[in-house]
Amino acid sequence: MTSSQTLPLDRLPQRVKAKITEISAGTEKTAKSEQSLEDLLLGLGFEEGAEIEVRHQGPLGGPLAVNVDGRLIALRPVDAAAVLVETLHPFSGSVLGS
Amino acid sequence: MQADLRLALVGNPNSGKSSLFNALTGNRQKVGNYPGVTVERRTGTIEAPDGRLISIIDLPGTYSLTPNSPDEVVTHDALVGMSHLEQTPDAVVCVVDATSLRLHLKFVLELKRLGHPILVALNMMDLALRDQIELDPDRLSEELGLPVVTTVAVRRSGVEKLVNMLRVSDWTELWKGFEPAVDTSKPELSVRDLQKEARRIAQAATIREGVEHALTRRIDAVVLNPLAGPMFLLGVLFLMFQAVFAWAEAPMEWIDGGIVTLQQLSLSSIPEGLLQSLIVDGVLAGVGSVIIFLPQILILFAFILILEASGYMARAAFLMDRVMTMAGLNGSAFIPLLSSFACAIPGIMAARTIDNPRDRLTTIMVAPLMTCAARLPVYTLIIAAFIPNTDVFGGIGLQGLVMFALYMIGIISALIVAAVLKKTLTKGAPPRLLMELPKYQVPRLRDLILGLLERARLFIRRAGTIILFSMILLWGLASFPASPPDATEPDIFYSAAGKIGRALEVVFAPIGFNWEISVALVPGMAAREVAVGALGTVYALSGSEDAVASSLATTLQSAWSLPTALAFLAWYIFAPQCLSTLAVAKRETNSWGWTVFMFSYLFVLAYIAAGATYWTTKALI
Repeated sequence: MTSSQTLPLDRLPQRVKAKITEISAGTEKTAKSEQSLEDLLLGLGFEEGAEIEVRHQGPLGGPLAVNVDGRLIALRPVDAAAVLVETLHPFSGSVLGS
Repeated sequence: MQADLRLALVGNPNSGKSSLFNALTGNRQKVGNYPGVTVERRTGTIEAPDGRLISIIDLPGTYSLTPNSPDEVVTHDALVGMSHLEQTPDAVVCVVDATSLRLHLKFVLELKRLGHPILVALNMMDLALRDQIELDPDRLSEELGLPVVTTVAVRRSGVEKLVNMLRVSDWTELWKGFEPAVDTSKPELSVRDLQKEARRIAQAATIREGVEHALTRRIDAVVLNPLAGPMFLLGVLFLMFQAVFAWAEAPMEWIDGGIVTLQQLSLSSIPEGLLQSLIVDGVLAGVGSVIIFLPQILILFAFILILEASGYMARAAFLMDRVMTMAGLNGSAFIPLLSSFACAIPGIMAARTIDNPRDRLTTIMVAPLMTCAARLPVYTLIIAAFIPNTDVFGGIGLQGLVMFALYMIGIISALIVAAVLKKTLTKGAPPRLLMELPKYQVPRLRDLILGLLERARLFIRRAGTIILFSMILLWGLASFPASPPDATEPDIFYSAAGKIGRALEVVFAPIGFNWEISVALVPGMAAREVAVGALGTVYALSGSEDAVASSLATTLQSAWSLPTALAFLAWYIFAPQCLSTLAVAKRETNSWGWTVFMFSYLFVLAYIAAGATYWTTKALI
């Protein structure tokens, strides 16, 4: 692979630097008085343009620990899928196989 | 006492807000609860250098002004003047983490729209220095249009500066020269607009971006590693339990000795009779049975507070999330449930760290299923009496194996009950795990001591008052009416407690319990281990606690059948009878309905488990 690519955060391999291009979690609220996923993500610093890198994953396919502009945030892969990222540098290797 | 100025501390979680509050108020703080919600209310009063009084309230930390959790509702309502619990503050100190300026600034901008006079405390300047971040506070102040003071709350640095700023005769002067904080004329900005503005200001006020905290990164490489991480966690837990059980032994003996001394003093100084019995068997025995757990609870809380302050607690939740998901809970339920192995009371109290109200409720409901320390005396007694001390294989004893099985059944039941509850009564969207893993920090002794004192006070007040009351009640039930002169049975047989117990036998006979057990279950309401002493009373044994326990084992061997003994063990896995747990559950859920539910479901499970054990064993032998 020679160019940067766009992919959902849960498919970004560990230790590959990327930039957030879009957050599309939808604004529907799961229950009254609860914030939508998008609000929660925005509140924790996930925003378009922020630098992001997956650092760790919990055991047994657990949550991801991602560095967003210098802060380490834990979130589950299912929620991470709402964050679209673009890799900063081209990287080799298959994303699916990672 | 009317304060001259009401100051509110606000800020994101992890901004060091509570440390700043501790540094400002020291031990002149009051921690209570908001009525109706289980949100801690922390207030304190300080004297400004000129003698005027400033009241400070530490509002719960929040990431935004959109109320999400009960904590955030309190903060939101107090700030917008909607609260019936809290007076609207005269001014607000917004605590901002210097190492994470951009995110915290978003909150400042949001706050500004409410129109309060705001003082920005640029906190954690020491951590900023450590990470080689260089900021320009004057530029920040200029860009925000707000006064800014730099602080290092954990070292009290800057705190004096903050207090001195309040020295001016007219507090409105503080904000002189700054643009009016109110700019509600502008149309409401979206979250994204606020973020953009926050980013712009952060960039303008940052001289040097800094480097990532290398130590945090290096520690995380180990403790969040999929293999090494869980092993490290296991080690931490092992140390924690070792401490709870081993280190607490000596202080527990002192307390026990102290209570015995007091009892002997009362025996010799108060004439024999009702008053003596009330003080010795009612008050002292009752209070003793509660405060004996204080050392264990304090050690447990010391660990929890250190784990929290150091930043590791969030990592433990991260590691355990996958496992806890299987029970429909999220990782943050792990520590409360773990604490419940010592005692369900601190476990239920620790559930406050769970944001989602439904998750919190589920965790509270299953906490009593974790085998607490109070069950150990009961388990030890029955196992010693009925389980042969033989090797199963390779040095593993049958007695130890039974003990292990009792623990495991408790854990598995808790996971099943939690999963069932999440599908029925506490149904809702699966809880999210979305949290910051904060940078590591060395916990401060002052914060630790203040936190421990607070926990000890809560425990003694909450558990102590209800236990004292119920022990006196149970003492009354066990002492009246007195036995007839020609009594052939032990005294308790003729008392109200004995009558209740014998009436309960109708309920308990089908699961193999005799009247002696039924009677012992009544005083056992106070605390589970009291049942051992009560059995001693029923079988008319006297002497020291250890002597009763060892002779009781011999007595029980002939008095009980094996099915009855095993049924009694099975009962105790679920045993609903612990008034202090129920009292704390009532307090923390703020609902009689849930408290009654907790008691009822535990009772039903205990009954079914004991019955099934009794009849299965009976059929097998």
